[in-house]
Amino acid sequence: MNTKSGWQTAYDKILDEGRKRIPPPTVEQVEALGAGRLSEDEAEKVREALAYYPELLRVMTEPLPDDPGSVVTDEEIASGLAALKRRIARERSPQPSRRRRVGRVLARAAVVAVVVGGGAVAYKVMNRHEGTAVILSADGQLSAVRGGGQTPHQLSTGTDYVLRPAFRPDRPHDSYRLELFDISGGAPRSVETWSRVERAPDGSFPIEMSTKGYAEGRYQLVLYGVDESAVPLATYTIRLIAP
Amino acid sequence: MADDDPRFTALYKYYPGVLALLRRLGFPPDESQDLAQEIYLRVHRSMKDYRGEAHWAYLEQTVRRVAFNWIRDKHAAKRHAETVSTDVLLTLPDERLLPADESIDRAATAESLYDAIAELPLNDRTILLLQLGGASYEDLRKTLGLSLSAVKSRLNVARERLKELMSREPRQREE
Repeated sequence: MNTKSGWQTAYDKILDEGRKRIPPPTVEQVEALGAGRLSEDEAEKVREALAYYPELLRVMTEPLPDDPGSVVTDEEIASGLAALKRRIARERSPQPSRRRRVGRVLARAAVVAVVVGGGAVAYKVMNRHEGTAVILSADGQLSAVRGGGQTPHQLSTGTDYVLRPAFRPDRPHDSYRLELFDISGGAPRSVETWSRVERAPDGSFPIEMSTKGYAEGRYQLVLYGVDESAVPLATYTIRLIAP
Repeated sequence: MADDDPRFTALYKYYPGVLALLRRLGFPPDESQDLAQEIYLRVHRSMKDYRGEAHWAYLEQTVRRVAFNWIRDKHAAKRHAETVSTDVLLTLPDERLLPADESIDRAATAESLYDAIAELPLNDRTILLLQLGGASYEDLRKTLGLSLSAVKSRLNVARERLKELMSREPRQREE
């Protein structure tokens, strides 16, 4: 039974059509609109774009909750703050000296050579990260994102991994982001994101990923190049199975 | 170090507010936590530019900007690659989608509504779509740079035009 009203259906269709024609406005444009810094022509374009992206307008206008406690639980706040403090502490831990960095680069270059030769064990030993290291090769065509890639990389649930999705971008981007989608069910569902991932000297984008807490199934990791907006660069299909 | 910086330490106490705002914006719990942490890390990295004033106003602006770009990135990614549907956000309740005008037939078919809205002049279409998208009068006032009475008046005009288009036969509308 179709429970959607005619309004909702028409509205969805209009938004869908509009979004194909008009890109979302930037935050700078919307702020400039709010501050009255745009010419009437520019303002009209931004307003029209906002009409097709109401969630962006809502982000800028939604009032603050009077009482945060009515929206989030104390447990969420406590666990979030604890994780945040850990991340801040990690971020402010001293960077390795230049000499050590050079050494690490050389070591990783050697590691790549070893891996190519089939010495995966040596690779794991020399890698500084904890967890099982896995090199991911891209699915191929980006069109594979929708339907799932080719042969999936098989990983185990309940395991700590260092994933090294390998990809050579056509051009450098300001930053890179990886996002994991659960594609087992109907619509893909974003389940984890790694922002500001750095490209390692071996050409991979290493991330630490624990599959503890993830169910068996099919997942897709998407690598984005982020400049003014994020552009998907490569996808990696992963199948999680019980060990 | 920034973590020992009392300016940054003072920002920790706003974490519940940051998280609550993200949740209110429709982000699911896990994503809200991730975004909240991204926001604080960003603030942490730019402490040298922060004068330590207006803690919440400073955080709020960062929250809105990061959330905006997060959603925008998803849209941009979809546009560029026809990639996965990641619309985790902001499904608006049906009642917000109905203009407050009972005289426009609620039972009208989606197709005729679509055609009529698409036919409206740009200004009418924009204000109507913004309202359908959940914008309040106050949001419309700010976004359109109009007075409250002008917003109401323009909405009335848009609805009247829509009503007129809806009342025509399909063939008349095509002409």
